[in-house]
Amino acid sequence: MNPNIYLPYISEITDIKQETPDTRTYDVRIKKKDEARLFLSRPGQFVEASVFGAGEAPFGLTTSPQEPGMMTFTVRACGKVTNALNEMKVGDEIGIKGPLGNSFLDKIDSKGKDVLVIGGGIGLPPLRSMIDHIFNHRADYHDFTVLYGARTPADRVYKYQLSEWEKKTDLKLIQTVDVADKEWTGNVGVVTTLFPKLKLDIPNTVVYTCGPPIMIKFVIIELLKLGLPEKQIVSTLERYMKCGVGKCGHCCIGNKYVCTEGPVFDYTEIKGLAEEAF
Amino acid sequence: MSQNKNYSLAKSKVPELLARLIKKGDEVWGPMAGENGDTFLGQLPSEKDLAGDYVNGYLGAKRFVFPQLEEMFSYKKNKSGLELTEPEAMPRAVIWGIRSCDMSAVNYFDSFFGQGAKSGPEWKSGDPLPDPLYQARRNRAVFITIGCNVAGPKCFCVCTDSGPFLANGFDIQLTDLGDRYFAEVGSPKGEEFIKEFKEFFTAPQNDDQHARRTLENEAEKTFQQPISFFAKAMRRMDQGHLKPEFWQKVADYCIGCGGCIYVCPMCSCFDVDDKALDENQGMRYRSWDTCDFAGFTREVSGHNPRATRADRRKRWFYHKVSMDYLEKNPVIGCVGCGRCVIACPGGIDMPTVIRWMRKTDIENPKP
Repeated sequence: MNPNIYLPYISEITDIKQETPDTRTYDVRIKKKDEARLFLSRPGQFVEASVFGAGEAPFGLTTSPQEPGMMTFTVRACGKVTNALNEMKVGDEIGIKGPLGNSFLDKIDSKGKDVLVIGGGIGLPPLRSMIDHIFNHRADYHDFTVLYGARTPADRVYKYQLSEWEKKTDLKLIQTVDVADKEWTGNVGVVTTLFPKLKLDIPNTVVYTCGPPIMIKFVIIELLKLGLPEKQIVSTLERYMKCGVGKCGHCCIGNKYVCTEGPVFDYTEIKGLAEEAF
Repeated sequence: MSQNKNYSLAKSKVPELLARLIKKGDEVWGPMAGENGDTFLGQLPSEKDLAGDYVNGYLGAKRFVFPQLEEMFSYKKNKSGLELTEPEAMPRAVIWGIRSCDMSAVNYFDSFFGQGAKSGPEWKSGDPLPDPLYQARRNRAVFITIGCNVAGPKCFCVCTDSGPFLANGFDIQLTDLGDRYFAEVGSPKGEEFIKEFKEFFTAPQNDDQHARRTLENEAEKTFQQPISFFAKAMRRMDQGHLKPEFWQKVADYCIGCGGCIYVCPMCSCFDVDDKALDENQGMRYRSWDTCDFAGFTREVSGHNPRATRADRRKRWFYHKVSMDYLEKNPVIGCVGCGRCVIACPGGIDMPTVIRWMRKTDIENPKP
């Protein structure tokens, strides 16, 4: 992070992939070498990306690890900054602040345990950094399952990646959509309807989840019903954020700043807060 | 500082001292008379603009250390690419005559804005980060406070350990002794200031320190505002005595104007946005924002974690008085300045709601 916490690093978009009609994945590189050297992200961390003139917004990093100063994030165009980003092309300059926040690795150690990743819609990208991390250290983890739910088949991000994951023998991927189209032969229904299909070793499973607030809420309710210990439910939270460095106050839940104390929390940290975390 | 050094400053010399500072190029901030009989803290164009005897105005030291709108950096697109420029360094600022409550709020800001904290690779999640804008303003300011001989009609700083006089936390604290000020030094910066203007500061008279103590004791008897006992309210909040019906009742009196938050010397939430001058240049700035507005937490999907006014009222009082926050900063979020009492059109100011919190029980959740 820059010594001046509000000053972004000038960075360049090096690649753009169209994921869905309104969602794109950006590869970004910090331009100055001495600044790039300082940028080393861990799975779960995020950045504030600036489109100068439009403002800045937070995005979860989707790959881990990368070369210093390199990063990837996936953005749905839906607001002022994200729509401005959607107009940009390879070679354009943006600002990057980060890496910000904590990591999945700061929570309960899931090495030697079964890992269950539950993503909903645009909630898969921040989880993907942890999925990458597990693939890079696959021998350290036991059974590995990913559940992914989206509104429609077309709304799924990383379709190219999903078809590769489906072929893998050391990962079980189950997808579901709320509304199917003609080609869809998979599951239909919300992501929690997949739970009965799983044979979970409850005491030895760690869950990583991210998605729309309503999804996280019901995922946690169902997991608790199954008897999963609270510390083994790990979620990365998304909140309306401005500064990203613990000052502006927008992302506070109870006495916690999602930006500097999160975005990754386990259930014990968020359940007793004075207000709903999701 | 256990042993303050003390001086005397003749009141008749104050205009000359301020004039000297202004001429030297320092910014001098002090209480100024507004057009409608109010008082506010502003940068004095001349020593003649200093207001005389006054009760705290709507805007105090927050106006200097955390201005309503502040540039964070400017950006410019050159042929070689984007270039960012940080705001220029500014001259020393002498903040003259703020009250003890406002000084206490600045001390609270010091901790929140991470004065002395470090960013960079050694930063760990959860640690405070240093705010460079606040740091720049704080470091260039010399705070010269004036203790209150008589409490204002809405003041309750005796309940919040932030007045009417301070034991520390100021650079120089003045006590009004009629024709002169008794001046206590509270920091090396204050000591340096006095050394620089030593012809204005003389040795105090023998009984001045005693007079200062007597004034403090007398001042404590002048509070008119029904005193708010925070401890019981805090306990009741954290033990879950205050049900949704309670916050709904508070919200029924709220028009959502955000006035309490704008005048609060301890509220520091802000919005960040860009202002483009043209296609190729502009600035990023921050401006005051408030948890009282629905848009403060509303996400682009339409989901709003604090969708109702009751949620938002609860949020404000929770942040101010919950013991959860004392873990982070062992000071409650109120300095008893009484501004919310004056500003709130619905009458749900801090002392009132604290009183409701104390008296409400679970069986009868409405205040």
